[in-house]
Amino acid sequence: MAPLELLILESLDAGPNHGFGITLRVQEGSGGLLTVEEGSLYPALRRLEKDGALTAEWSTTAAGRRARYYRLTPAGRKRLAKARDKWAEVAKGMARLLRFA
Amino acid sequence: MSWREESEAHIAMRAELNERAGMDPAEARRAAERAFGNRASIGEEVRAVSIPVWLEQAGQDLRYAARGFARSLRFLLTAVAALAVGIGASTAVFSFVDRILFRPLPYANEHELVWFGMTAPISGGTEFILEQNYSAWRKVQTPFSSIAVTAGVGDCNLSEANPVRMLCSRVSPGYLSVFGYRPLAGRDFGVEDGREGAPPTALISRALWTDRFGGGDLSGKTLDIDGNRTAVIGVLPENFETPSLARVDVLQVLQLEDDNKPDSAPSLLLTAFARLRPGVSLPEARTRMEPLFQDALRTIPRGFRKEVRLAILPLRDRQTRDSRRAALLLLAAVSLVLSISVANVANLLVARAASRRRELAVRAAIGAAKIRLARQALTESLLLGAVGGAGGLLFAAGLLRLLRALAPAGIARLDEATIDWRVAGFCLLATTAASILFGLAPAMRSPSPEALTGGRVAGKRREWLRPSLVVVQIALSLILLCGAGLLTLSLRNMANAPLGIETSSLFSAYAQLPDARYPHPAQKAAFWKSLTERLAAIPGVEGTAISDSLPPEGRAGGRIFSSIHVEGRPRHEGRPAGGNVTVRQVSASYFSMLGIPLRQGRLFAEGDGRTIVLSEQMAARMFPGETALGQRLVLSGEATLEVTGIVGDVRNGGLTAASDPEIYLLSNRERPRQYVLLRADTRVMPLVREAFRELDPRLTMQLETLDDRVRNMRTRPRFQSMLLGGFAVTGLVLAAIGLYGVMALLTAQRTGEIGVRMALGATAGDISAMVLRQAGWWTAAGIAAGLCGAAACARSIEGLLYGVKVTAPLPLAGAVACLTVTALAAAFAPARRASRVAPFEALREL
Repeated sequence: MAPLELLILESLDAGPNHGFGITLRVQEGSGGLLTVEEGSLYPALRRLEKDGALTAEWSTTAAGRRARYYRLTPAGRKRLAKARDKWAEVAKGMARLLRFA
Repeated sequence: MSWREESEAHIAMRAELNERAGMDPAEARRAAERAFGNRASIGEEVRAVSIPVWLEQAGQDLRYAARGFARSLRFLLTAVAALAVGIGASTAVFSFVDRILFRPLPYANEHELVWFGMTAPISGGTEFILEQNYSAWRKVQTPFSSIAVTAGVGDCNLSEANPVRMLCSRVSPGYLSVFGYRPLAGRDFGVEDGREGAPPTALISRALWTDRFGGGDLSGKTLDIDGNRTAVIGVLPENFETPSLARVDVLQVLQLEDDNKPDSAPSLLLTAFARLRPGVSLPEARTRMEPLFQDALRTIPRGFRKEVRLAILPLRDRQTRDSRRAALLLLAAVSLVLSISVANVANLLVARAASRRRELAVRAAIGAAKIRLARQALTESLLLGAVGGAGGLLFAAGLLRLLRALAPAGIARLDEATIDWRVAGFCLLATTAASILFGLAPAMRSPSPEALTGGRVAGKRREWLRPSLVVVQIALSLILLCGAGLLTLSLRNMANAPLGIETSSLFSAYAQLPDARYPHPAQKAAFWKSLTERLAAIPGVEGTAISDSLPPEGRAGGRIFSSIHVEGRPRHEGRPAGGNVTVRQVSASYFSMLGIPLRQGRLFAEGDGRTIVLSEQMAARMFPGETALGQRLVLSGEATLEVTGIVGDVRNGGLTAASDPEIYLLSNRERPRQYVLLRADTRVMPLVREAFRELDPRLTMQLETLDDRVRNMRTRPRFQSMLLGGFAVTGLVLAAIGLYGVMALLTAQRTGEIGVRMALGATAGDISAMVLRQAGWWTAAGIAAGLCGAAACARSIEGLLYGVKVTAPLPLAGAVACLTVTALAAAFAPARRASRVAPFEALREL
């Protein structure tokens, strides 16, 4: 599970959002430490959509603009839970590795 | 679309954010675009993700298959050619035959329509009813909801300013409605139009309507048909066709509705059609008509009765009767070709799979799933099918055009034949199914690890599939070759069969005098007399003669043999009754013009009365063991005639049927239709036309050489044997390709073995002989199987043959020889290659 997908799923866990919204949420949520590149965001969104983790539909933003909103599916939630566990392990491992390095 | 919108929304939102942060609008937009990156290339990536996996893999398979085919171009070309020939030939021929046998007829509820009447040997198998039968049956019959009759289609002249020859048919008033037609414009014939003495009326074809009347209003419009002013009352519908498929321009009403007509009046021969009442089956209709038929028999001469039968046939069966056998033969031939090409493709695929065993093993070893390999094979089969199918359709279109161009006139509705997509689909399916079957099977087999070495695995079981496919191909080709040989021989016999007449530098001019303008027999006689005088006076014309029919035809003037008897003797005295006699009315010069030899007695002299000349066959049959000269014959209803001469036999049953005995009467020239024979150079033809025009400018006539007449009669048999010959050659080539392919591959696979043999002392000759022997065995097996097949098919072709028995040794021997030579020639190249194997290199390959 790539970190990018984890970031996407994580940000959508808060509620449906469009692509730009996802980049903002990731940036804000990480306190500006992490950014998502548009060039990888959209292919990743399509992949997740194809895998059935997300659904997408056109809707209107608060400012009245049409945008494509992505929403987690139950399968997406399961995938997120797994990704979190896995990431926690990876992070733990990394932390140990870096401490002893 | 959606990507553009989505990315645009994204950029716009970031630009808004930038603006709120204090940038000016243009700057904000530029910054947002920069941050986003290359929209187009991201879009491509996004779309690539959206393509389903199977499609992506299919793309890979397809590319791989195309590369594989490109590498083995010879395989591809052979397989595609085999497929294209098989699919193309089958599709074209079926489309062709479909028009004849299976096309929908343009009649409402066609299954209810029947063709009925009486048949007798004298009618040549044609059903007829007499005028009085129609009048009697029409009122009392029960099985049919409607009946109509026609007097057939014949020439007629629109005798106006420019005489035009048209095809007219006289029909009873209910004719159109029996078939479910309505006039396109105007009205149908009514009962009143059919009464004797009613003003003549006619329906015309759509083309004639547009041509003559500009497609406009018909009221008051008339046509001058054979000198009779006829009211045009309606237009035939566009899809109108006569049940006999004869072309017709004008339908004239047949005026039969006359209750007072005496029974003894001469009766027209009519063709009858009827529509069965709903729920009445054919056998039931036959049972119900039987009493009426028995009644009608009483009016028929006694000697004739035994030979007359009642016939009620479904319209479609009757319509296709004449072309059915040829059509079925074609279908059979083409299905053989299709089978051969399927076997060929199967063979090639199996051979290809064998040569790719190593490749498959490698792919399996590096992790390709079995299903992936199978899909790869499937893709290749489908690709092959698609390319072969496309080639086949092209081939079919070309072949169909060729068939249309070569086909003799008179094959029903041929010009409408177009590629039949159902059949094209079927052929494509059959060949693709075969290629899938034979392409997939090897891929599904688990590759053995030994295959990875590329060497031959010792103790492998013998190859059986490919040889048996070759044997099948050879057998099928042999059947085709036998058929083609028989038909060719039959055609040659037909061409060489003596006609009994001289045809070279002879012309015939045929014309028909309209009753309207030549009402009296004397007028007709005067016309023919002055015509012959004029023609004889043309410089270059060496002689003229007149006859009411010309050999090799003659059925038209037929009589029943038993209706003729010898004066003073009881009828049928010790003679077999039955059969027909051809009767011709000829001028005295007829025999010398056609070179018919006099055998005994003397020929006619102009002015002879009450004399008759017999053909040898007639004399032998009428007077077995005694002299015919001086005997007196009674033809029913006519005066007694004295036999003055006996002449040689001529063919009079067409080119294929057996000839009937023939009698000649001296022509009184009172017949409306005559053939005028001329011995002259082609250069006088315009003068002949001129002579006709001078005598009667409104008359149309047909001028042709006798050679052409005879040649035209041979077109249909020639067409049949040419087609079958074409298919036989196609089949032979395909079988040769198959044999060559298999021999080449097997020999290549045996290189190592051959090396060992040579190392142990076998000579190049031994090796060639070994390969040829193997090919020989397969060929022999194929020939044996083919001969059995040919014997089984023999019956179907019997009726198309003239003067050849299906068991004739010559075509059989020819076919066997032809096939053997081709097969050995196909095996020769591989045999040669095998004999040139260098033992040292071959052993290294082991």
